[in-house]
Amino acid sequence: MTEELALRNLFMHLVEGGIPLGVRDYRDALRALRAGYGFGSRKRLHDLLDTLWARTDEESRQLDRAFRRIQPPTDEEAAHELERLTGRPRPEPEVDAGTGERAPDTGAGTGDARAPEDEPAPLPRFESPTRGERTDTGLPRADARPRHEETFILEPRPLVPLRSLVIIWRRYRAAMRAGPKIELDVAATVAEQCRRGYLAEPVLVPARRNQARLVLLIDVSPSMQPWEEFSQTLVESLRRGRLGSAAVYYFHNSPHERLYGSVTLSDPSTLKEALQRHESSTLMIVGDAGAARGARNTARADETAAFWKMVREQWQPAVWMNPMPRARWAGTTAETVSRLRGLTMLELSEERLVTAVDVLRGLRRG
Amino acid sequence: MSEPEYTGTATDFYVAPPDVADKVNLAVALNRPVLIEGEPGCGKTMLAYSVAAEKGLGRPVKIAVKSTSRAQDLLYRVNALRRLQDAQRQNNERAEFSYPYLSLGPLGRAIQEGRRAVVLIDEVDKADIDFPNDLLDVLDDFTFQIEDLPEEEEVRCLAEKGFGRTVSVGEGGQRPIVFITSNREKRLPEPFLRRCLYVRLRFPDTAEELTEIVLKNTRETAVEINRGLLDAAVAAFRRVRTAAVGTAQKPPTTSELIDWVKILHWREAAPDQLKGDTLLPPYWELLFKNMADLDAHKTLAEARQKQTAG
Repeated sequence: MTEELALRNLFMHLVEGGIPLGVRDYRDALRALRAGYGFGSRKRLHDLLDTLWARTDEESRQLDRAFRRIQPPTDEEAAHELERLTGRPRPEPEVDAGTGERAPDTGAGTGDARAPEDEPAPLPRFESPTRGERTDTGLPRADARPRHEETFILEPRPLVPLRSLVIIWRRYRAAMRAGPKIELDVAATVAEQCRRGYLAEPVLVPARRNQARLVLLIDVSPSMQPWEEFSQTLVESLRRGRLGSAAVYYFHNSPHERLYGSVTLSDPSTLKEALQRHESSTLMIVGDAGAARGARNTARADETAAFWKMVREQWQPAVWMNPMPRARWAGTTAETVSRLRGLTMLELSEERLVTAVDVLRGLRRG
Repeated sequence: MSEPEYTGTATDFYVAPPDVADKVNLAVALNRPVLIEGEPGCGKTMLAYSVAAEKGLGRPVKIAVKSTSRAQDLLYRVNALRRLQDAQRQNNERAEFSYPYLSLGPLGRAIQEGRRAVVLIDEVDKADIDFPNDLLDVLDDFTFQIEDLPEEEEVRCLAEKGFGRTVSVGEGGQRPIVFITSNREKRLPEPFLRRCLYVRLRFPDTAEELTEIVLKNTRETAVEINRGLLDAAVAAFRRVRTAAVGTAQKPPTTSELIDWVKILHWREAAPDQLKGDTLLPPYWELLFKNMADLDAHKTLAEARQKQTAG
């Protein structure tokens, strides 16, 4: 049983980091190790786990970081682990270990000093950096205890987690028949048969599917910097939200005639193009509308009003999600913008996002 | 069932990079499907064919996915229309049963036969978003139910067609090796990505790789290409491609290269015409597939020329 725990800390660390791995992924890693994959060098083990567990660049980086904290075992430990795991003697190290020398021990948790890739390390120990008190696993304990009497763990936490966002988007449904004709229209088929006296062909109709359309505009000006990560999570959630169609554009300070396809304000397209491409869609804008700065900027308010005038025929209902608390809107541009007719401004929170979806579905107004 | 490992180098039509071959072996060992992504023309389909060839598994069962494809179509089909028509004819007893109108789809058959085979599900991203998710369960345990076969007909169906309500690989049978290719037209659902082992094929852009590809692809048509011309063409192609990547909607790929080299050969172009650093070698238009890319490339090439001249 002990060998099965070999990768556990690393695995748990990734799961806690938000990578949706399951028991099956863990077992597959063990199976692969037993079948002889990932042995021979540190890099090979890393590559194996990367192949099995990481699916995006971000996940790869997360794995990298966790992996770097692994302290390479001594040669005897490695040999012992390998024998225990496979019942086979240890294979010769790869070509690059030919000198017989091992790189100096980088130690655990020394940060960015990446361990050389040719270290023979079939099954390294993994030190969990924060969870100090797990001694019940029977694993060799981490040498380094937390430096201080830590009673809390500071971890970045999203304003609204991805999973909740996806669930919120799932509420946004407008089912209509579209796509390939795959469902039998019983009434029409019977009617057809009665009319002709025989059945030539059944009448098929497309299945119902979600036709909810959304254009999401995100402010990426410096005042929105604290919510940058959240904005990306929101975009990510939209991809999984199963809307009929969803488009994301970025703008700087206030939306106007030029919108951008990327966070870095590259890939520009004109408002006219965007309007054409996403005809009769609903609109969600995410921005602080000047509330973070805390002053009223009439020019900016006018610009936003002009923008709203241009799009309101095409894109509505519309909501504006403001990450600044409502109390901070007073006396700022946000207050002016929130009074625009037909544009509902809401505080950005999980509950208000549910409200926002109801607004977009036309079920309520603000 | 000691099967030889896939090396990626044993066939005469495709060479897989070592890390890709490793992943294929890992996927086979873990019984997981392989999801292959990469630019058009980088050999996604060929990878599956070369695995089948190396392992001596015959031709892969290739399933070309269409936008109207449903996962169930890969498993089995019911010809309900035929049955309806039969039922209206008098004295037709066949139509009393459903099983005569049932047939297994390509993946269904591969599962039922239970012999080692390569199944290639090509361009999965073309289909509806539900398609990959519906496929997931089947690819997990290679078992599926035929809901359209009534229980009371199961025995007959088993006797006449060889399958019952539950189709699986069965004891002693072997699971197919599944390859799925995607052109990234749509983002694939998360659980599906999790289940597959992911292989991203790099575009083969070294001169040796490209030369090799052209040679392998022109051999069958018995075109004997002058080596000097080929080398010059590959060099010119790499210049054009480098300039086009990032700006062109569809940068030239191997299939354009192969056609282009053939044309150069047939029109008896001289290697000298391709030398230098020109971005507009003879017949360069063949390397692009749309008007915007053609124009953009021409403008770029002319600007470069002016730069070097001035």
